[in-house]
Amino acid sequence: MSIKKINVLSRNPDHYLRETKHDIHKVQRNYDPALHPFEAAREYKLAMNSVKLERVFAKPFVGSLDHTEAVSSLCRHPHRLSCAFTGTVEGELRLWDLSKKKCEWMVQAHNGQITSIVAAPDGNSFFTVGNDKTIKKWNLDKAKKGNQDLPVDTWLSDTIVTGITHHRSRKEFITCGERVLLWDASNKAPKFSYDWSTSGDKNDASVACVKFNQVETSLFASSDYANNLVLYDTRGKEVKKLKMNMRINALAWNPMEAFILTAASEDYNVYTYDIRKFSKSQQVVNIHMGHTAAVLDVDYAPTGLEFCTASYDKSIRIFRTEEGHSRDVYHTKRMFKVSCVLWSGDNKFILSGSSDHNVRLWKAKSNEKLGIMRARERYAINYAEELKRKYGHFPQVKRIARHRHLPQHIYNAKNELRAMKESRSRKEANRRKHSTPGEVPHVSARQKAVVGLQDDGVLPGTSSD
Amino acid sequence: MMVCDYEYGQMSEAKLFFREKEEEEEQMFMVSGVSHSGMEEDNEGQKEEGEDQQHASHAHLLSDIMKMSKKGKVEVDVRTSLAASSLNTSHLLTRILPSTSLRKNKHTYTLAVPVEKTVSRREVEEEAGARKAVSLQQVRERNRELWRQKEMKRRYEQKARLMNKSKSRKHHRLLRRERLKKQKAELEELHKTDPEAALDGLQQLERARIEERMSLRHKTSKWAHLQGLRATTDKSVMAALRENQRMYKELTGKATQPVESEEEEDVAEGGVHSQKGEERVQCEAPAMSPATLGSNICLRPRPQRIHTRRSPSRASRNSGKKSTGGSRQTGRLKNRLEAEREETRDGDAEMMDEEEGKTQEEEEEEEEKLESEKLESEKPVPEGHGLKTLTKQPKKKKNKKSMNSLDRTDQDQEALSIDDLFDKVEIGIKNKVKKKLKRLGVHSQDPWTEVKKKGKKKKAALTIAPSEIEEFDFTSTRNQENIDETKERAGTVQALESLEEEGGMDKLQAAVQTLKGSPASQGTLATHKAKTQVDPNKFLQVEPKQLMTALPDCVGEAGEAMEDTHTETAEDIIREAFSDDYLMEEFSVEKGEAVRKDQAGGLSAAMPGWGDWTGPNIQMSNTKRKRFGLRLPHAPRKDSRLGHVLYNEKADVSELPYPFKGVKDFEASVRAPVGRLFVPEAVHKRLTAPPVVIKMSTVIQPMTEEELLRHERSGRGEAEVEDSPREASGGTERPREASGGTQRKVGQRNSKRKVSQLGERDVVARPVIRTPTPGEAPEV
Repeated sequence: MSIKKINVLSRNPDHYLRETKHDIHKVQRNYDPALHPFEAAREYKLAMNSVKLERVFAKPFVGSLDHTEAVSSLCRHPHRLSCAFTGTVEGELRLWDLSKKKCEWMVQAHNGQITSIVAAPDGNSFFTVGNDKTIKKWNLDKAKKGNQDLPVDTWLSDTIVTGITHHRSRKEFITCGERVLLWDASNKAPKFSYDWSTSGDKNDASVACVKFNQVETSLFASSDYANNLVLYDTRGKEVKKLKMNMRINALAWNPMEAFILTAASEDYNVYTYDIRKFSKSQQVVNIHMGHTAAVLDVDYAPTGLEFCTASYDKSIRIFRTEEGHSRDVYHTKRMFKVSCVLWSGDNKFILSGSSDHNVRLWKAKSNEKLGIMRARERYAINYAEELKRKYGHFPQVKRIARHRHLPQHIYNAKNELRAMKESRSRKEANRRKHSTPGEVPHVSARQKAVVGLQDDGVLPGTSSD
Repeated sequence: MMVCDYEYGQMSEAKLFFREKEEEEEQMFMVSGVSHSGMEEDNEGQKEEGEDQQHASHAHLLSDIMKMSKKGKVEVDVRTSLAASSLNTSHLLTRILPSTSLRKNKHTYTLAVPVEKTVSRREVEEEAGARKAVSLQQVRERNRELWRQKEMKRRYEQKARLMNKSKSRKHHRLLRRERLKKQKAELEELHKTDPEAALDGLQQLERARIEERMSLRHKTSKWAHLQGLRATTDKSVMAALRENQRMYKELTGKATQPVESEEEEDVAEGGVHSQKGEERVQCEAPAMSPATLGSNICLRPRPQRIHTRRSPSRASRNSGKKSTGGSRQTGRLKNRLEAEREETRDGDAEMMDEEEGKTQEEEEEEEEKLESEKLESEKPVPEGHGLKTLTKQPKKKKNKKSMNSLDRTDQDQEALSIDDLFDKVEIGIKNKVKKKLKRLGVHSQDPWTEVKKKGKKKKAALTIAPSEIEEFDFTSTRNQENIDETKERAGTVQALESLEEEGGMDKLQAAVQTLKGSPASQGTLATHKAKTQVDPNKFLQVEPKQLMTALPDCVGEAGEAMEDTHTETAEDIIREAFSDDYLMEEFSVEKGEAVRKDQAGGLSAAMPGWGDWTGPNIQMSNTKRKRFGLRLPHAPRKDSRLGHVLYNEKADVSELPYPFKGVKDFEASVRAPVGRLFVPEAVHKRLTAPPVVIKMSTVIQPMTEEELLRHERSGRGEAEVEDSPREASGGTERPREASGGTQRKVGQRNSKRKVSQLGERDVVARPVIRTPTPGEAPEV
């Protein structure tokens, strides 16, 4: 008697052997769900593994671009991915080749800080504004040749210019400072001044930031030091003026959704507005929390699904537009307060300029594999992503996916902020409890941040030179 | 009990022995604080007895001395070879001790030895006087005798030492065999004389079995290992290995609830197990367990051909040989008839019984043959031990009957006591049955009491009524079968006059009907089945699943058809192939660990510094921590009642996640698989396609007004057309359209895509912005 005799199926090797090692043979499978009773459990396990692997491979830092001064502004080229400009607080302007991490051109552009850089839509010229009350236009081609340290064109302003934005298609740009000025590139004088101070009322604060809408091209928004967020239309006058509790440091329009405006606020939060609702009570559609210090800059991903913020708390956060808390937070030991941030045109990288004389290059998705992938690998990654999404609500998966190591100062500040928030809410609840009903009404956090719409019908005087 | 006595005896013997030796050397009599009168009396009868005991058997003494020389191992020996020798201390003493102090010591060894000085001195004086009185001749004789004893002892000791040293396997095997034989004989003897002690012996056997089970000797022995190496070439070795495997299974099989297992074997198993070929081994081969031992003893056919209960498996087998149709029925009937005859002893019934008996005789001869063969092949079991049933619940009438038959022939007094016991237990069972019936809703007519009453009226019904009860053994596993059988039996039995008048029968039937009909009964039936079959076999019970495939099933029937000569079925082969895998055990270990982990987390309310010192490097004592330990009540694990399930409670989603409208939707979304292992490749790709795909090294330009306006101009229709390829195919081609999961999935995917397409879609709602009047517009 033999030991164990098991009858096996006889199979033709041609059906299951590969001709070459690159062949992927079809595995015969019976998809009857009755035969796979543990499919959910197995997928759960796969999801667990993939979310763990995600954390294993989360290495976002790509490289840094060294400067001699703190970086104050960033700009990307409208067409070229590897091209970026940086400006420092000492007025130094640099052109970078990002793929080589090499400075291609450097010039002392302004006396004092370069507050903002913007590229013209043609891609060949770009504008810088600085503390020396000048607007300078530079040519990229000339810059690339080198030894060219003179601007192509210069505009003089009577006040300090703190920001500049360019129309998407037309040769117009808007600068902001004590006044908001619309310039035509062909003209040395501003075409139009959006000026509130002439009316003599208190709204004479200088403007911190101005941004053109890239989709609805005649729209632009500005934020001033009087905590106002103002919507303008170049075809007419300012449309709406919303007063916030705290100043707004930076603005960004969603490049895919024309009506979404995101503002980086001094009160550690980032607010997203729906400009269609400005006349109603609910202007703020989302509050993005997470930073533990003032948010200094915000920039949208070109897909419009995410944006990143730079903060005084020495970190960068990445938010999904529809979520209230950040998807990821980037920090390094040596990164100091981040003053500007930029999302690359191909949605892959984030640039952050900080006061530690560095511009850092990060991966937008920390665990993403860069470079060319085979189809199978991509499918595997897609499957893993889908599984993570599918099981993302399960506590273990969620915990792993959410877990981040934070530097101590952020961690402590976070706890402190939480305590403060709890204390405030407790106090409010107590006040509500001990006062007559209705006296202390419930106000949502989104409404609390907003003082109100300053749509008082007062039109600014137009002073076109 | 007995073992303890024995051990104690051993020790005291040993002590005594050495004490004796000293005394002999000193030529003094041992002095103790026992009463003088008794001692003196003993002294008188000493000499004759001493003479007699010189003829003590060689072997006996040898073995004793061996044991003594193995001092340390004595206890171990005893445990494994329980009650190996029926030694009494007196016996031993008489053999060892040459002379005078014998009787005295027999009394003294159990007592403490407080020696009173005065008394001893007096005694010494007396004895000194007596010694002086003896002549030289006597002294010499005495010395010689002492010398002889010493010499004998020395020789025996030497021999024993040699024997202990011996490493011959054969020798040890012989010794073991001898010892076993002796054990059995003693057990038999003991059963006749002292049934309780015999019971202890049986328990000892059981214990030995358990120990063997624990040691896993049969699985891991060196021998098995070596045989495993040889097995590839030698077929006989393979057979031996198989036998070993079988033995191992028997030994390791958990003998949980011997009562029930016995029940299974005795009452219900019958046809079913014979039908299931693979379980035959289990019921045929009795392990060393007392349960099977007891039953086996009962089964042993008597030479006087007194009607015995036959093993159900055998019965069925025999009946299977003769007639296939009503085999079980006839077997049952015979049993029943035997019972009748035993119980009633009525003249009118005996006529029929004899006729039946004749037909039975042939069968029983066969039985005997089979039995003897079996018993020879396996371990022979002493006959005449019906004792096992004493401890068991004597639910089975047949068991009892066979018992009775044995008892009647062998010892009548014992039967009486056993009967009493049975009655007691029976009452308990009846109460149980009553309760159960009540629970099932049979309040009004209590069939058992009815029957009982009737039985009291009748002459022999007292015993019949319980027999009826036996048949409705609710705790038995094969309840349904029992019921069926009784129906059949009742049908045939109606031919008998003895049962014709019983009206209780109908009521029983009625009760059975109600029991059968009620869902509760089925539930209980199921649970009972589950309970009794718990037999947590560590081994995978392979049940080949017949797939609905077009492929030829070579493993199953087809394989058998191919080789008819092969007696083994495919299932057997598979079972054997997986027999070595500890899958179930591994799983249970895993689950146990999970449970332990779950329970871990010793919270303690103990405060440092209260009752002990505390400080930076001082830890609280464990005892204190334990004393103030908090045991927080928590909900039982969800898999606590699911045997083969390990429930991951950490994977429970406590709140309904945002995009889902209901728990059902969420569950469905989780349940629907997306992997290529579970869905076809194309579907897998579609399901796992990322919502946003970005071309490499391409600048993503912001949304353009043209694009938006184009959409707006063309209206919704065009936008939908753009969507349609994915959507439509998703709707129609999805493999499991019926399941809610995929539908949910579709919906969810839409919602997900909506985010990316929001710009396109919501452009329609754009013109909220107040556009200026033409006059206001600045010049460009």
